[in-house]
Amino acid sequence: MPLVNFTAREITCKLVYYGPGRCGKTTNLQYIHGRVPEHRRGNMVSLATQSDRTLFFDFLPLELGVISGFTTRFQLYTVPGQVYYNATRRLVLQGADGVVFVVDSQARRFDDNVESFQNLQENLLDQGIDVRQLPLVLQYNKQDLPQDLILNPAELDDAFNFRAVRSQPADALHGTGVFETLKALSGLVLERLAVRPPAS
Amino acid sequence: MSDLETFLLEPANRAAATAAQAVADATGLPFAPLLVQGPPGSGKSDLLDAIGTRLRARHPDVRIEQLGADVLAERYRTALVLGKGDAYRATLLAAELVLLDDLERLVRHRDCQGLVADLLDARRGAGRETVVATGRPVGDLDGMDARLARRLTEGTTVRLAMPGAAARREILRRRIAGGTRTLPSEVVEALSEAEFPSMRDYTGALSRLVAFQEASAAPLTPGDAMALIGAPGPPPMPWSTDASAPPGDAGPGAPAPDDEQAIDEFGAFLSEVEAGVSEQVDRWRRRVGEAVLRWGGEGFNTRRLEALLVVEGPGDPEPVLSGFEADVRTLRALAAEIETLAPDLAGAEVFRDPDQLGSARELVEQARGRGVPLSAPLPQYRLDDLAEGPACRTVLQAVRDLLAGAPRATQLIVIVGGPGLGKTHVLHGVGNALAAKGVGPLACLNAQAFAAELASLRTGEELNAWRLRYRWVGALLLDDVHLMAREPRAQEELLRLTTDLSEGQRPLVFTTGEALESLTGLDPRLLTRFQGGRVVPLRPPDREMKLAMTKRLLAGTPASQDAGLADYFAGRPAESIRALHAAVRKVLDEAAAQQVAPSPALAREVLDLEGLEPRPARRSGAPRSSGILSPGLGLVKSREKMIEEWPSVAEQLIAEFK
Repeated sequence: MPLVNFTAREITCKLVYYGPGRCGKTTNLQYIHGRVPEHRRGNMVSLATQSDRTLFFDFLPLELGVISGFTTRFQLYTVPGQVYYNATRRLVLQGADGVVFVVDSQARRFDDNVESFQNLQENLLDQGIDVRQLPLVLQYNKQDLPQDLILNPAELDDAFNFRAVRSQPADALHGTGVFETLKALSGLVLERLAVRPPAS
Repeated sequence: MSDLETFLLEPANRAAATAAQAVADATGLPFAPLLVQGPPGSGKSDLLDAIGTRLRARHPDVRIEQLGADVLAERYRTALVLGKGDAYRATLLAAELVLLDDLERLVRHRDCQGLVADLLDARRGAGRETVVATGRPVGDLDGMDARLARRLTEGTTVRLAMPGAAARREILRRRIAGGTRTLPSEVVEALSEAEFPSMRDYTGALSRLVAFQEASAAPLTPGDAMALIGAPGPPPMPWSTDASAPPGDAGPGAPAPDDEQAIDEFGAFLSEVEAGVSEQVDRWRRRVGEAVLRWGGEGFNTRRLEALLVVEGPGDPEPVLSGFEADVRTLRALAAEIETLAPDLAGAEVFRDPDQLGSARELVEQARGRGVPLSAPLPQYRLDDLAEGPACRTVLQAVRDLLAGAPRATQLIVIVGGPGLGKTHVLHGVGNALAAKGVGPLACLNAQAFAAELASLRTGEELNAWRLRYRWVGALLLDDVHLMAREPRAQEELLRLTTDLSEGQRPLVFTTGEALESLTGLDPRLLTRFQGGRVVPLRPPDREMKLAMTKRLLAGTPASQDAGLADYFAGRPAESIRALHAAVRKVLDEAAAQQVAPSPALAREVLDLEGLEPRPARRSGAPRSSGILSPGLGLVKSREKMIEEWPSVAEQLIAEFK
């Protein structure tokens, strides 16, 4: 649940981009980072290997200013996609207010998507969170690739969207659908805005 | 001052200007509503101003509501908090013309969208025009209520475009002409040719140039002027970009933050977040407002809740709301308790103020000290059940005056009457009538019980609690006060209590079986107080009373319609109501035993002939006489007549016969 600190008059939402390796999670954050005015964004922290694979996680803080008297912050995280970084994923997932599951639309990555999606549900369950109770948006990335290489949104909906959550076709590299995804998730998260006692 | 004619200068805006003119001239054309749509700085607000100005020029008394969406939302919420939401709606509805600017900002105020949709419906129904200006097409306004969007698109939409160079030139010239300052015409010409994104920028640049010209001795040249204002290149077209198209070839790390599209994309996201957060925060504010209205409407002081609305941005309302509700529950419980213990305190202000919960608790604690509940009047005695006649009319009149609260009616009544005349019935009947009027608590008891209560008190604290308990009664009704004749302590307390209650104008009703003058052993002060009240006698039942009472007693029996029997009882001497009851009961029982219907003959047989039965001779005491005793055992008779007591006519006859 998003944190509302009445003492400090702050609202902080933690959004996590989840998905298999190389599906475009970091690309999403990079695009957002590039589109946010400087005074609104913090430094994007990215720990990556030499081959640009996320080693630990990406973190992009967004300062959205004072809204209705509350300093509003969004914290965007990505998880490392590779299978062997599950401990990190679980760590990043802790306290998430919403999750974007980035699906690699390439047909050949179908199994990786399924495995990662199952991994998301398992990791949430480990934390006592029912995926049905968590704001979730599916992003079908790389829809700009040739049609013969990818599954279209309807096919991906059949495979992943059995809970009829919001799904968004995207081309994160060029930004198509990136902010739409973020807007969809933030809308879901803000609907659940609730009171939590200020941190002691 | 805006002028509709300036909008006619731009051919693209003539439709909008014509529609605006029709509204301003109140032609009655059904635009319902007129939606003015145009990019920022195209002059939407000016057009609304112009409509208002033109309408006022023609009808000075006309009432126009001109406001932006933010102002509308703020006023509406304030009205809601003050409990005047409906009044504000009515104000908007009643205005001859409503000019609503910055519609796109309404997406941040979702709670107000319903108000605007209702308003459009109602105003259309009432034949009143509404003009709405928006910087973005209604269909592009994410977060806009579907019903409102539909209402808006059902109206007439006119578009405002940026004026072309020729129109700009004329607008700028008119601006110059409308003031006292001047600017070379070639500078105005050059300015109108420059490329600014909005008309607002042109007028702003014009003001800068005019100010510069004022301070400069040499006239401005077009070149200097353009350099001065840094005339920019061609303006980007708002909302012309296809949102679904990729934002460029640049990679994710490449786009510059100052890129217009980038800012728009982030701005749209930010706008949605703002709307979401505002909605949630406003929901709390609404909750607080509703709580203020609810509890305030129930008479509770809502200062604590109102404080939440005063501070900038809401504090955490949940603990305050739940705490307030808990305090109200506690207050209600305390008020209910004190209603029983001390109704006179139940209306105290502290029971309506959750901030004075401590004081309310103290008050209840004090009331609890008053002790056990008081004796209530016996419910079976009702004044309506009394048979009225001359014998009791004085009493009943006094009682009615007391109950009616007659202006000069004395609050102290003393009913004097022998045993069985119905004093207790009247006393408890008065008590029940007072209770029915809401007077309470009542202390209605026998004087002996009063004295016994007092005698049972052992300590000073008990006595104080007992006094406190009686001091708050709404009325004191004491039966048989003559029985207190030998209870000095009870008399003392009664005197004290009577004084207190009299000062509080609380009813005091006493009965006594003996006339006040003949009461011995009563404190003279108390006696004087009794005599100062309305002393009314309750006499033995008269014929009218007895007839009424008999009919009531015979009702439901085989003799209920026997007028002769009722008349017999009414004519028969009866010292008291109780004696009449006994006689009727006796006849009815005898009739039942003989399995015959009650009749006057049976009544006479049962009641009058019973005296013929042999009576035991007097064994003690001298017979009543004139008082002069005979000198011997009847041997010498005095000259005075000897008088024998003849208990009945029958005995006399038998004696004479002997």
